[in-house]
Amino acid sequence: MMELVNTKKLFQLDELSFDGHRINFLNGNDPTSIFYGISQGGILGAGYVSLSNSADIIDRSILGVPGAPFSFILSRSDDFLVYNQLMLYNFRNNRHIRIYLSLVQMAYDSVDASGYLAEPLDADDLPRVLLQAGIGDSQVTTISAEILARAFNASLLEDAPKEVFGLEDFMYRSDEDGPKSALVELLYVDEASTIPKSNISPDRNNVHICVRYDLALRNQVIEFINDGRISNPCTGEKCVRQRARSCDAARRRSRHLNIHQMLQSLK
Amino acid sequence: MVTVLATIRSPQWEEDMTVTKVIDHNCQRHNLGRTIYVDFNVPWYMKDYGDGHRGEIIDTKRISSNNPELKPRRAKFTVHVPCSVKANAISGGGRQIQAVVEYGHGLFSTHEEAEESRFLHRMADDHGYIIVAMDWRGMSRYDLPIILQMLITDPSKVESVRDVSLIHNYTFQAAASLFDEVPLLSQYHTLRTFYKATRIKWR
Repeated sequence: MMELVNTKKLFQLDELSFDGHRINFLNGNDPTSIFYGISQGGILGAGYVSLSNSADIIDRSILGVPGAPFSFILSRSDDFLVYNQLMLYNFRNNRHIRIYLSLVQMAYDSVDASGYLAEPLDADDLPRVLLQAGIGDSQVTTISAEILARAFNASLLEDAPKEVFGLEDFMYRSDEDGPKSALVELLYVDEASTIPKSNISPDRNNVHICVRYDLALRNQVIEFINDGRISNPCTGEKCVRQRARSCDAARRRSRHLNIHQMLQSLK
Repeated sequence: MVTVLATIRSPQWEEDMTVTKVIDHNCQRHNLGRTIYVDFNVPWYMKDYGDGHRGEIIDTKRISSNNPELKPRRAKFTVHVPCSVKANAISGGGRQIQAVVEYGHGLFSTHEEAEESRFLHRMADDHGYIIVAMDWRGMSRYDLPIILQMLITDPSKVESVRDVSLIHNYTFQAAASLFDEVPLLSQYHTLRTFYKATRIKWR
């Protein structure tokens, strides 16, 4: 009840009234508090979500193309190519950069989820989390999303495009509302075949952008926000996409990518 | 970002908040009806504040609880109201508010990413979500000069990047909502001590 009163204070701002009429809550209830972080928002958001377990600040969270830890993601990201070039002004070779990244991770363990989600934090106390990733992502490797999913004790949904070590399959027959937390991976067949097996940067592709625009995953997000249900978009191989070419226009509009291009021009 | 919802829930938050700008959008062409820019007070643990102090690090004295030297500083966030919520307020049609969605932006972007993400606007408009967005301080576009300086000339600057990110996203939250109850601050202090012990002198 206290939350209801306080939250409504926000909506009593004059700027949140229209023509003298206040905006209304669904059925007069306190609105659900959702965190939705994409890419870095998913990476840092995972730390935020894991920290907020006892603060009762968010009810549910969606982490789009996330991962952990930072040092693991960086050298496997095509974004890192530019930063690697810049760092070579300061380090002798890539081996030194690798050592530096690993040392820096010790500091970042206090920021990103990899540090906070380590035991003895009980995953059962965490808010519900929906993780969405794309196999073949050239910017945030899916391996890091799987690490994060294990830390959150998330489930894998039936008919997922591949098995993930350490994640248990969730059977909808036993619980129609879905698992407490889940990892959903879309397989982009063409792009996934080009991802290097070692820790080097892959060629740039559109998977990272396409995941957020995928209609099935967007519907899953909406259902999770509205009803708290984690539905399964993967039934009948529906989490398999041949390629991620349909997001080119969105990619061109992205201001982050323009910054990336600017940095590339420094090379 | 974290502080937004916590502050909203604090009984004192109204006194802290100042609306600095309001933009009314054309609902014939957009899913968003109004964007509101807000300044608000957050507890500040960095050594300094203001122009030229983007790369500051944590002042360990300030993170002790009940510190009288702890002063609030200004931070910003934006609130996006979809057209359906606006229409509901005016005419009773449209959508009632179902959720407050706090949006976390991507690598070296800003809270403006929430203004450009049309898929998010459509979702908010169709289902009655208010979108709240804030910068990941330390990892936003405005921090790129510090990041570039760190990469090219001074890798030890990573401490400020980490500190700023941590402060803005996590410690603010603990202070704003459960300052004396969450063991985060002592945990952080331990981690920082460990970090300092393992820190390498790069030059």
